[in-house]
Amino acid sequence: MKIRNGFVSNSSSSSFVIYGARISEYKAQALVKAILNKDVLVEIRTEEEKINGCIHIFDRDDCDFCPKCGAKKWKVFKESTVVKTDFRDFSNAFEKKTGVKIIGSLENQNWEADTKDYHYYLGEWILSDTGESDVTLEQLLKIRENVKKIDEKLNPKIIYEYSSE
Amino acid sequence: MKIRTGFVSNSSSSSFIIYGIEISEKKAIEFMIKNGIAIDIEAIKKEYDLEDDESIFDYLCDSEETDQLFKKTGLSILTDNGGDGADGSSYIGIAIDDECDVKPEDLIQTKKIIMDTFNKKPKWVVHTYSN
Repeated sequence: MKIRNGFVSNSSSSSFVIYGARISEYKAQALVKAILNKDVLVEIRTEEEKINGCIHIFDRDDCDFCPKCGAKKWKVFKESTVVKTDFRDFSNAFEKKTGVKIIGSLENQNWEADTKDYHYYLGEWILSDTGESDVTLEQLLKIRENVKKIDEKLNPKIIYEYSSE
Repeated sequence: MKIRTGFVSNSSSSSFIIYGIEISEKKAIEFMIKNGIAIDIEAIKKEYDLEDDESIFDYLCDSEETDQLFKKTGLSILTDNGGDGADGSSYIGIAIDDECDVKPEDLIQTKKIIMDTFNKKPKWVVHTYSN
């Protein structure tokens, strides 16, 4: 398991301990928006890709059609690309401002569709496969206080997650 | 791996985590005697013909009475004693599972008890095991 910029994820077998409150992705997005005034968005970018219009190779820039078969020089494809601005882009700024991390934990990864589902915690990680964090038990009390400052209803817990795929 | 000791759970599990220290059977028995968990150990040894620390420890861990008394300490003993890779190591500390509601104060208290009792600093111990 790797912790990357506040994210806990991406190993087939992983275990970690977090002190935090589980929040929905929507809630995490709303907090980033409210506290940093930044949007965590899914954007659709459209890119154009050109490929040769036929099998013949010719080197005439002034010609838009193939001199041999008359096909268009280029076929133009529009490819839609989903670009997700994720929480990693904001985790340092969020922690600096609030004293707590937004930690994403990989829940499902669909390799074929190239999609990943995360769930999120507001808090601090204590232990991962890479070792113990430097956070002290006394600092956890402060983290609870900081989480409560963000949302009084949130109730951080010691959470142990283990996955073996 | 089976989490034995009755103090936490009696079921098979794929992993466990404890904030505590590794403990020998001898030390665990001493702890239980000192804290009034293992009562009249000599009578138990005679009645059940227990000779070594391992068999005494096993008996105590499987006893419901011991389980109830142990819970009052706020600590747990977990033993890795089943499945591939199990090494029989035992740990004392505070166990974390999906349903626990351990607070930082509990961890601080556990640290104090362990430091005072065993003069060792507790650590996070994760045991994982795949079938």
